[in-house]
Amino acid sequence: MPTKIGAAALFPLLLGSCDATMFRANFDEIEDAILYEAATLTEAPSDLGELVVINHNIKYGGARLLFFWECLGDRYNMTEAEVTGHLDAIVEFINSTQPDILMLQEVDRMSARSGYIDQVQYLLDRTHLNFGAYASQHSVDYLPSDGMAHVDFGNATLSRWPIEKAERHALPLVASHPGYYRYLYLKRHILDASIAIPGQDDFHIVNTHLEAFSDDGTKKDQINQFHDHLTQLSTDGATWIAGGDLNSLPPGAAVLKGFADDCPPETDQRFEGDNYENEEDWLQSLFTDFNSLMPLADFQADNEPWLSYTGDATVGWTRTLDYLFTNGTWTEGIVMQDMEQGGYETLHLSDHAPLRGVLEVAQ
Amino acid sequence: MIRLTALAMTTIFSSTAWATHPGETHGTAQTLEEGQWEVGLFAALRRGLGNGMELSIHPLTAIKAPNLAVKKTIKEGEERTLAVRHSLTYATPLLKTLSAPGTGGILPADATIPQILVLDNRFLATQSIAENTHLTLSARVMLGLSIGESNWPQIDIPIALPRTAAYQDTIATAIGAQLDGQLTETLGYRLDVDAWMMPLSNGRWAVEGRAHLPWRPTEHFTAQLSGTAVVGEYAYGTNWHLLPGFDLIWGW
Repeated sequence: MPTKIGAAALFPLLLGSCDATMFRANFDEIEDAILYEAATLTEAPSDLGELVVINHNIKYGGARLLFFWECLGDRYNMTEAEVTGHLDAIVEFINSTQPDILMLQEVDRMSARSGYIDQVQYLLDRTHLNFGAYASQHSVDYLPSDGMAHVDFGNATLSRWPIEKAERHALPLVASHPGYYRYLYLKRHILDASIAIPGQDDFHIVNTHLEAFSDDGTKKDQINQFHDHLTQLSTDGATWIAGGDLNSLPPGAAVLKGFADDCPPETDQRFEGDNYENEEDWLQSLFTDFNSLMPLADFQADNEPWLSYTGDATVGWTRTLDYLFTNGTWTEGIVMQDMEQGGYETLHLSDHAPLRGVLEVAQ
Repeated sequence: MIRLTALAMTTIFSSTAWATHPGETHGTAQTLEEGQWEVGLFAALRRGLGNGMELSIHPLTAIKAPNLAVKKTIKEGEERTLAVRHSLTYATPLLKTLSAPGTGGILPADATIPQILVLDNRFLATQSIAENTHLTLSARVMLGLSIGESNWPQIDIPIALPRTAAYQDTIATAIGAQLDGQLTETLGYRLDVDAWMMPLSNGRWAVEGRAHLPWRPTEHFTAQLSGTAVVGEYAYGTNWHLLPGFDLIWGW
């Protein structure tokens, strides 16, 4: 037993001592995010009564390619042409919808799997958005798994106006993972960016992407920390918009398992269908304490307009995983599912649909 | 007179063709003496053939990457030794193994590996600069021949990148310097630096600096700790790493 304890203690120590010089796979509890600026700045409005924000998980520019980690997927690394083609479609979407603030999840930055393109800079340089903040949720100098090699992907917040400060706040790691796996696995976080929006003293955009798979309560812990972070911002007198891909269903979701995009066992035995039972109320406190873009009563009356994810484009959107909250006031809110709902065909852009919200901002 | 001659011979012998403890001739222009063998946990299996010639093969990778190297002394003087080393490696089976699911994850499973032959050519010049202290200068050209459809990513791992660059991008070159000496009777040191240029690769240069501490308690065994600092350009940008290492080498 002492040997096991010794080995268990030694392994993280060994990895920790090598981390800074070999893999660089870990982060501090709180650290500065990486700030970006577009190659050419576009004039931003200085007088505004409302703020348009869009949230979108862009699947690292993979669009609807099926990767090895997906049902029936067999793709690994994309070609540069594939990535730029997919990113150009997202650029077209951004330029068409003209958000003031864009919150992105699953953005790659110089990763081998996506042609070593800095996707934050790519989007900034081709849209009206001027400034960006990026925080990684998976950064490894060399990841010896499935040929992933150099990987860096995470959350990014893009803005018309300067980002005064941006911090990465670490979220709990999945405790049930073995030490070596946890060391090299995703590191979820909250990206908190203070943006110099005209007429606003202390305005924060809080962007997150929570754990998708954890049977040990880690996702609940991450939700609670996200809630606590927002509560503290409100206590401090800040105005904020928060959201992202929470990988959880809202209270009152009609389907908790057996989704239309589940992987049929007879076609690909590597996967089991997702099951959200026993976590139905995990997001309740967010809906209770803050203003959701998606009114919970509306969702519970009809789930369909609020579905924001599907792993299988042929069956359409199947579940709600993406959210926006504020301590301000929404005047509009929609999941941009297609031309009919949102005015844009988005199914081909990613496995997630964009959320669009309009926030009332006092001058 | 005989004593003076013997003393002179001993001095010359110790300053140029030093006693070959296991691993001691690695990276130098010296070769193992006829009949000598060496093998390490990670170091190549070496055999001295006499007449300034040495054969070596990496047993760890030989099955999946058949390889053979020949080192030949071309000039051996009292103070200076010159040698060339040529090796040929057939890398295809190893790369295919590394792309198979579950074998390390180095390459993606959808990689297409062509037939790859790599010729590695080195020129080595070793100079005695003090008692038991030798400086080796080296120049190296790796040439790769790739036949057939090829679609596999560059291996962005320090140390590995320059040595596999020619597999895809035809050529990699390096120049280096290595200093060998003794700290105590059984503890030696080796400092070496290599500067790589990979003109056709996505990641065109690397500089590697190494410090070794070989412990040679007997004539037949060496235990070696090392640290390597690497600065280089990768497809994702410039980066640096510090890498620990060790080896156990036996000779007979």
